[in-house]
Amino acid sequence: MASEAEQTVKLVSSDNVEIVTERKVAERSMLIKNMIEDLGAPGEEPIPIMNVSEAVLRKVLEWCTHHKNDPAPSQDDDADSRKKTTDIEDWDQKFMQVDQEMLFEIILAANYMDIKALLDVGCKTVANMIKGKSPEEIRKTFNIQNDFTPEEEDQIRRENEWAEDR
Amino acid sequence: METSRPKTNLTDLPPELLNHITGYLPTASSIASLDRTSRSLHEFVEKNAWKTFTQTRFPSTWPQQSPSYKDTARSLTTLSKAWEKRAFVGRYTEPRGDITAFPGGKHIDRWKRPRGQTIGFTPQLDVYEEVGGTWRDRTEILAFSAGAEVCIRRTKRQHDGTEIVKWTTYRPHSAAEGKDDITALHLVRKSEDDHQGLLTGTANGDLQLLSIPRAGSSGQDLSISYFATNGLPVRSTSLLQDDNHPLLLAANLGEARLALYSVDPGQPKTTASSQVDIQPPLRADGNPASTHRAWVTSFLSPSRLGVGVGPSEDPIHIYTIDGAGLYPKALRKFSLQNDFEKSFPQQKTTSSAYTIVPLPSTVGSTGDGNVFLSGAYDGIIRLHDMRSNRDVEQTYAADDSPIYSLLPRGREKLVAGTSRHNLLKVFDMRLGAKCYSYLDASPAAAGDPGIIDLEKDFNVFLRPNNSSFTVRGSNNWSQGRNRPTESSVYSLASPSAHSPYIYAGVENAIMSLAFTEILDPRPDPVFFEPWSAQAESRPGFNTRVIQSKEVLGLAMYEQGANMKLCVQRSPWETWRANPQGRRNRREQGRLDERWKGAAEFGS
Repeated sequence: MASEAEQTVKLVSSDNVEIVTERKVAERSMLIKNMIEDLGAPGEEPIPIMNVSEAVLRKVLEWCTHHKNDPAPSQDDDADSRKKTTDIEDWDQKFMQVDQEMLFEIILAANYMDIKALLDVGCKTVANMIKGKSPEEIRKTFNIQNDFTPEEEDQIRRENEWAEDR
Repeated sequence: METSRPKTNLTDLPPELLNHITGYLPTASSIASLDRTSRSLHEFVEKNAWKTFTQTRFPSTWPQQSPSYKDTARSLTTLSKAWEKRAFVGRYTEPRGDITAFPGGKHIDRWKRPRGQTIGFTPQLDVYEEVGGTWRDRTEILAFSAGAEVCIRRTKRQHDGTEIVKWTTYRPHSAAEGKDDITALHLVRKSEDDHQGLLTGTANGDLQLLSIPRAGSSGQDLSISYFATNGLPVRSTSLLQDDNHPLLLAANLGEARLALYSVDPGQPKTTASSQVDIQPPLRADGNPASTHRAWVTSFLSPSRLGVGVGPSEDPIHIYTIDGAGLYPKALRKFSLQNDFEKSFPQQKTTSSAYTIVPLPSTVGSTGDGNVFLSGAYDGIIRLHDMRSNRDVEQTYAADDSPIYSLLPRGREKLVAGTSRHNLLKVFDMRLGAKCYSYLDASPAAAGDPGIIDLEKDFNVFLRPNNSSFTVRGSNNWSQGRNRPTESSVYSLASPSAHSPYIYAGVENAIMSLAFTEILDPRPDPVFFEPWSAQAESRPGFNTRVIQSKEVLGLAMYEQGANMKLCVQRSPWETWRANPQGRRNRREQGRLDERWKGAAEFGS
């Protein structure tokens, strides 16, 4: 039997494409890690990743490969000051330079596959696209339809006026 | 179009992921922008985002329950901005208007301060507030002692902007000033509807729970339950008020006694359920140190009491409470030396701890009592942790003025009252979390190289700086010539971690500091109206409208190398000096517009 480091696993995307990857890479996903532990015999049964298409899954695995040796997150990460800053390391920043659809697909996949660090990077990227923008700029950035009546929008504007400088 | 899936967009994300993104938005303005983009995002923001923002950015001060987290976010960001800009309004607080005096329950027109003392009274104080059906409906109850008398103010603020202020005073018939001065005071948080519970201790050895009829209520009977002290003077008390535990009272009596009482208002007289006499350390000659006292006691948790003693090499003792009461031996004693100082064993530090307070945990409760602060005779504030084998984790060095009172604001700011020059010290704690800063919302101000970074810590003199300060149409004792110019800051209290008010007890007076910018066109509507000359000349008394004639001009200086003094302008002067302040968009500096000399700050 191959040692754990050399083991591979077979993943199947939602569009039925089989992708073979290192077990260590795949186990950045808590979903896959738990499934492997439950199945007991890694590498034999293909693991279905139901909600993630091939293109997105390959992108997610690219991230997992780069981060396969990252230390496991510590218990009190939530209380960690770094959690709330929106600094993103260079490699991740480049990795996230994708079209918006892919960005949101990565976030959804990271959430479904339970890859916390990737989810954080994705959400930080989106937050950075919102920060400091006016409502109109946010609509433009994300191609959101303004479905308020002028009266409604005006009322919200007035209610939120205080927030302008704070 | 029908053949492919619709493109995934921001609005397609489930609320929990939108929430995750919200956790990285640093300012209220970015939440407000998101609020205005579309109906679905508006719904998400109103339902979730304001709460997430509040929770993430104010980890130690956000309230765990709120009728509106949007209003809460407004209060907390506005308050944080005022603190950062050192924008506060100092006023004296004293009974006036609607006053009911006990015993007797008669209305009086004018409150007279205690007489017959050569020095002014040393105020004890306590305050709390309750939030009602909306964030703007709230009742604040303030109590302080003036010699042998207690004064209670009940301020009811309503969402429509009205405010009802009623005072109640109580002074025992037989009380003698000096002898019967109140040395300890606590408001009972969970009081009956028509009575206010108040616990007081006196220099004469009276320790009692008063049940005082609320102003305007039908109740007329003041009742008293007593706690046996064997005639020992009450030096300090602490009242455990915890939703999950019965009321428990700890008291320092005489020089060395620590006594514990269960508080039951139905009992006319209660004896201590357990007590410990703290033994003084032995001197070199084998005799006990005669000046040794137990100065202060404070509940750190329902099962732990911190006691400040001294002079001693180990001036902080921790006692445990279990089902059988106080355990007679201290669980742990802390010295005031950090590891570095300990490496010089020949230089033992002897000091006294005058105040001990638990540090609030990040969830807004009083926490587990492991982490606490002490203020000592040597003028240093120290942070201690029961889980650590070090005696001192962190120090907030002041000067050589003994520390008499401490008030942490969540884990963000630490306010300390010192023994000399009416000096109030403010330290930035920011333990752990990356908190909110209004500067993130105004990139212009943050990036402007002309704006010099302020030192984080500063000092305020709690006395009117301006000698030409005149009182127009006021005959209040507190603003007249009888005010001592040199005092300690004996006591500090604030109604809640998100209240803009801090109250300080100085000799012969209570001063309130309201953290708000006088020129803010949109101050926190819970507590303030925008200030203008017209607004303040409107008839009727309302603390929401700041009255120039009551506002004190205070002075401050930075804790760092630059000790340049800044002085507050009056609201009028500030308004005149800042014509742009009258418009909605202000040219904002890093300091409140009231500070004179602010232009040279940091140079």
